[in-house]
Amino acid sequence: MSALERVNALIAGAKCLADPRHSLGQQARRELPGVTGLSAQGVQRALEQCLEIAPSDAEVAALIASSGQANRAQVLLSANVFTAAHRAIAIGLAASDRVLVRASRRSPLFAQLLNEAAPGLFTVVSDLRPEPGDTVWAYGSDQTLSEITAQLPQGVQLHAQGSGFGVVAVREEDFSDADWPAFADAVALDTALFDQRGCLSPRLILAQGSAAFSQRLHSELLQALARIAIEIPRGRLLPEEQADLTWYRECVRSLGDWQAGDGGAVALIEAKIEPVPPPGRALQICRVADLVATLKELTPQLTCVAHPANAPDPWKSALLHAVPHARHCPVGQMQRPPFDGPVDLRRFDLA
Amino acid sequence: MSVQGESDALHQAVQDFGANALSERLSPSEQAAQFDALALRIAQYQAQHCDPVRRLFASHDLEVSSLHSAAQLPALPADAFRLSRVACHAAALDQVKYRTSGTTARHTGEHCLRTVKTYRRLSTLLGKQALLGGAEQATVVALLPSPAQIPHSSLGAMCQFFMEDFDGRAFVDEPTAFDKRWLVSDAGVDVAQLRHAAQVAAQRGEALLLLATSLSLQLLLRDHGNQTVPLPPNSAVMLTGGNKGRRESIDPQQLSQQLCRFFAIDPEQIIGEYGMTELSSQLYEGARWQKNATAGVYFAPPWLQVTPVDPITLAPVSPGQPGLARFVDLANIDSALVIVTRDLIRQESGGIRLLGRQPQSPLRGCSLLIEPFLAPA
Repeated sequence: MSALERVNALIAGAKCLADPRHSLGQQARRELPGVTGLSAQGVQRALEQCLEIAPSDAEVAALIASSGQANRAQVLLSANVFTAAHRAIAIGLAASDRVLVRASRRSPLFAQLLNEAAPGLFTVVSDLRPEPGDTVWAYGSDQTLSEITAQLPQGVQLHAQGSGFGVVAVREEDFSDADWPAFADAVALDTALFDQRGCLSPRLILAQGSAAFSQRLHSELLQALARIAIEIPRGRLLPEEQADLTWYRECVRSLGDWQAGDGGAVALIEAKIEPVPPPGRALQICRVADLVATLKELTPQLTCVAHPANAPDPWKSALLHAVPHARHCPVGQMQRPPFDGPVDLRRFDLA
Repeated sequence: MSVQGESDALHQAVQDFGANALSERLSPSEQAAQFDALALRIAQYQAQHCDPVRRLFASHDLEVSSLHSAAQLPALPADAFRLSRVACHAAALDQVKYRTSGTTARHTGEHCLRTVKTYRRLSTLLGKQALLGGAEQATVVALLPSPAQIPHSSLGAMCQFFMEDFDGRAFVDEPTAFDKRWLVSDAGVDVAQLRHAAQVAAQRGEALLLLATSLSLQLLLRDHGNQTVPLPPNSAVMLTGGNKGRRESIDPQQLSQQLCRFFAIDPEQIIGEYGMTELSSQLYEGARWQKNATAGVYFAPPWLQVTPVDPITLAPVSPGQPGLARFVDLANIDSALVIVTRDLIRQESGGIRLLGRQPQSPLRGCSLLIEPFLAPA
């Protein structure tokens, strides 16, 4: 099979999982909540909206081009965004017809379901043993990746994606009253998907404008999180995640304004971009004087920069120029990047 | 009363309480009542003058005047010292700024003191009891870089206090006082000077007090472990962590055994100290100042309360259960009285046992739990 055929075969398998009428799609909906901690509605929405089952030919071609070629591909998956397995495995298949996949021990189910839906394309293994000539794709924390790098035999090519997060960049001058509900609902959707555990998930709202503008953002986002929680209830948080939220909340309480509601929480802090909220549907509005300068400061950590849907083109260009190695998109699309290669455009490649 | 006047009065009150309580001039009920009364006075002062504390209390809808116990006060996360200025006074009035260790300025916290007088008085009162076991004097050296190299270290400052208050005598021709007492430099550990200090102590007929971090002691053993430097009778090695977040390269028990051999001392002469930049007070293992002390159990002085709390609710845990360390430190007059850290502790035998750091949740983004990914060979 050619690279294109392998990737298309995987996409066809993913379609089965996205289909609520297919037995594997039903199994996914039945079992994924238990292993991911997401609500049933959260799993359903992720399968419907985030699993890439209809990429364009151009996107697939770009994904294949980005993967290079490998003698044998070994893919190490993360746990936080279950649909990410699809893209990660597609990248491995684009590079090689011999693909080994080690799923996260915490959440191996989706990789196993994909394997059933697209049999013979790749092998799920419990451990990886890279050998010289292999290429490894790894998704993990910066520390994990350093440890992996130290252990790899010489001659192994590593493509690594580390920690990161998304931000929403907003200017008061780009808003009118009519824009608020759609904007807030779009940010809330981006936040609610995967309960904010993804590397694209928004955590900071960088707001350039008056204090009144920031306060309006605060109020609108809190209400939007409550609305989205009716459609997509928050799932179960791990005890460590709950503890992180507690810690974050008390830090914010000493720094600024903390408001929590039925769907999540929103903090408002003046002129400060730390602390960064942990997962669990907490957003932080940072009122900043110079949004572009703040973005540049954050660049090493950013995977995605989102803007209001009606942001003018020159402003979008300025954002792109400030953070060239991040995904850029309108709000509401942060968790649906094109299927054109790795989600995280910040690459760390080691030969 | 002016703000400074109010602060000075609190400093005096805390010092008086500390001295009385440590010398057991107060009954337990008097001590408890005075502790809470002082704590609430300090909390009221901080709610008026320290922005992070004021905001925290306001967010909790708290009126200090309606409280009757320090246990009811919300705790400031230690990270707050990194995220903002935690002080009741203007920056122009800082006498010192102690900094936490961190790889970048963004990761460094600051504890700004308007005056070190209470920090000094209480740390030396306690240190004398916990480390000298009642002796009035000792020869004091530190396995640390000199203050000129670590000007913002609260540990370095405390070591300097001990040198001046427990010793105060030059023992070599030193261009400046106590120059030769700091035994770590870019060249490593000055074991010759350490040996000289031990000899001076022996000639004086007194103990040597060696102040050290775990890492500096490991460095000493790594570079000079084939030697010994016997210490005079009743000497002590104060051992403090100082390497948070880094993996211990040696098991603590193994370190203790090697130190006992190196210094020709008993394990009880190695006394653990637990403190942090965000606090003005310390805890010590109890070999020299607590009845029925157990190795690895740290005791707080009367002006410091330590409670393990649940990481999610921040409420005290059941007896014997692990929790995050929550401190009420009366000596933190001009900053934050009540602090919670990510250190895990458990109450034991009247003190606390340190259990390491709270496990972090899976990191943000496409992250893995830290686990070995390669199969064992």
